Amino acid sequence: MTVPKVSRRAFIRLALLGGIGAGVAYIQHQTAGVGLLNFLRWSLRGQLQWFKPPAIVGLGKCSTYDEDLVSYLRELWGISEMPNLRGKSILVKPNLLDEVDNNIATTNPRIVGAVLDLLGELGVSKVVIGEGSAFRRDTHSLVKSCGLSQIIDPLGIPFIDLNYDELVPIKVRDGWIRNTDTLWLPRHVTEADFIISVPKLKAHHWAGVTLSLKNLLGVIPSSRYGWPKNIIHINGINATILGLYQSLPPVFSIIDGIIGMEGNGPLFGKPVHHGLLAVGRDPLAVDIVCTQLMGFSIDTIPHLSGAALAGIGQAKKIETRGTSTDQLQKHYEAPPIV
Amino acid sequence: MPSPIHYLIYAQHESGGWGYSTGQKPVVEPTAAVLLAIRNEPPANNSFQRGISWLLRSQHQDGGWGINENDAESGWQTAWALIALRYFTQNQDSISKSVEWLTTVGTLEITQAEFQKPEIPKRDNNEAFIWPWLPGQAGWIEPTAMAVLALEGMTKSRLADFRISAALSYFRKYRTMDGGWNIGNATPLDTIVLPRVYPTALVLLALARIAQPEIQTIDLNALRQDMHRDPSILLQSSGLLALSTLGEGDESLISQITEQRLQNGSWEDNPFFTAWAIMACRGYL
Repeated sequence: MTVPKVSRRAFIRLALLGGIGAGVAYIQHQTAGVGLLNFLRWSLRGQLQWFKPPAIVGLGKCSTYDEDLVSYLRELWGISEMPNLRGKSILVKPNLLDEVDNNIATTNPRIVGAVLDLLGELGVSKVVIGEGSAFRRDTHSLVKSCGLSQIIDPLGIPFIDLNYDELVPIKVRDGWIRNTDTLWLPRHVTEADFIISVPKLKAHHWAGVTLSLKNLLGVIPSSRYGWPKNIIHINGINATILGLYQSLPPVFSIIDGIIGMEGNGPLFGKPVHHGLLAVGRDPLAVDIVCTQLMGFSIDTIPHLSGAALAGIGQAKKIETRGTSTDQLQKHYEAPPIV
Repeated sequence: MPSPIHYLIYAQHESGGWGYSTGQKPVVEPTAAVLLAIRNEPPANNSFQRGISWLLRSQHQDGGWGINENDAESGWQTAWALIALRYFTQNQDSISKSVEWLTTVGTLEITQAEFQKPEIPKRDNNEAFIWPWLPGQAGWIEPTAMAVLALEGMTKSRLADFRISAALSYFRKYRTMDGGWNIGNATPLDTIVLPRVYPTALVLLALARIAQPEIQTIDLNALRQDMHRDPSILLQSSGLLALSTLGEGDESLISQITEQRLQNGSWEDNPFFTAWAIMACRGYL
């Protein structure tokens, strides 16, 4: 019996096909949680960021909350080339997770007040403040206890407890949220032209950091998903952050890092007198810069590395303006990440 | 000043239910709470019947309720609806279906199909049996306490009894160090959390029905302490209702709550909060 002879060309073709097949099988296996098509689409979009303009992040050094905060924000807003908000409807989303004794877990109310003053100068048509606490049944009581009501009540700016807002079903986008094609979101969120995410800069024991993307979880209505926003326990916190962000109106960032939190955040960490304010129209870029200024690598923060890979914002080219990063660099104690 | 009952009549949505604020489209939780608050109130008889009709119309084929009539997924709100309907409706079919849904709702570890088999599923971990916010998820304090309140006395099902006993074990295990309860685990990620009024109040109401001797003095102290710290009308009301149910009511707390009533008769223009305040001042659910 003679063994059929395989020509050299046929052998190379077979090897090539085998290699391609093995490669596809490997990628399929590695991306089983998200799907091969999603992975390829996200990867391509991530690489395309190289061809887009850089994201601009404005950085300022401000040592206390007693300073003229609106002047800082006005300058940072200008150098960051933020969009024209005249006539727009804005939802300001501070971080009011829960109350702890030293009150550093929440966005400082003076920062929120300065944001409201700035928005007034920019000529927005409507502004509301919204948050839905992950741990408390009544977010209004946090608004009072953290001092925010003293700022917003005289201005007549309404606070919306997003846990109890009227809900609107929206289609989830971009493949991050599995097992459902619908996300119920508060009406004040879906109807806003823009959301301004105003987090307290914190280490976070599960997500790595609380910055402008992570802060968005507060818009998930607990009256639908339970306390504390139970969709994150099923879909995963990182995928939920990204899927939520992709399903929202455009988000801009103003970071309260004057006093940050290190270690066991988001509630029980230690204060860090950082003196940082950051502003930008690309939340991913802002969060990457702030994460690095905390002394963390974004490779250790899955929702940021995932967003960078998937091109959810500009991670390839970031230009910082204002105070130099050298003057703002700190080394936060890392959180006990799960 | 209009009475709180008149406010609730005024705040009723034209379709029959109530939302979390005046004029908001109906939601199951506030509708059920308002129905509990206005029962036995003759001026609200008509509102009451319309509310019951809305609740029955919003029930899914599977026996459960979502957050509102457009939400197709049944969830934790089913316990609220059942608590409201158990007192009033002549519609036993609706009640039976909701009891069945709540008894067999799946958890993170046990599917609804497993719960529907004749034998109770076997697990070493009691937490596999307690109630989630939504089907297929892990259990938490609040939906578990609400399910106990809804199912207790409503069914002779062995499974329901078993799940209620699992809930009791869960309440024992997750009591915080200071007494009382938070939303779930008392030491998540090795962090000691503080007790909070609302989950503590619901657990106390549930324990008052199924195992009152389990309630410890530290639970009541924890409740009072957090009530003192947080003036939210929802928390004051739920806390007072729990204390009153246990014979620990306090006239001064009733006065504090009454003083916060708005000119339109409501508390915070919120039918849900107003319903809780009415029940707290009345002293029973």
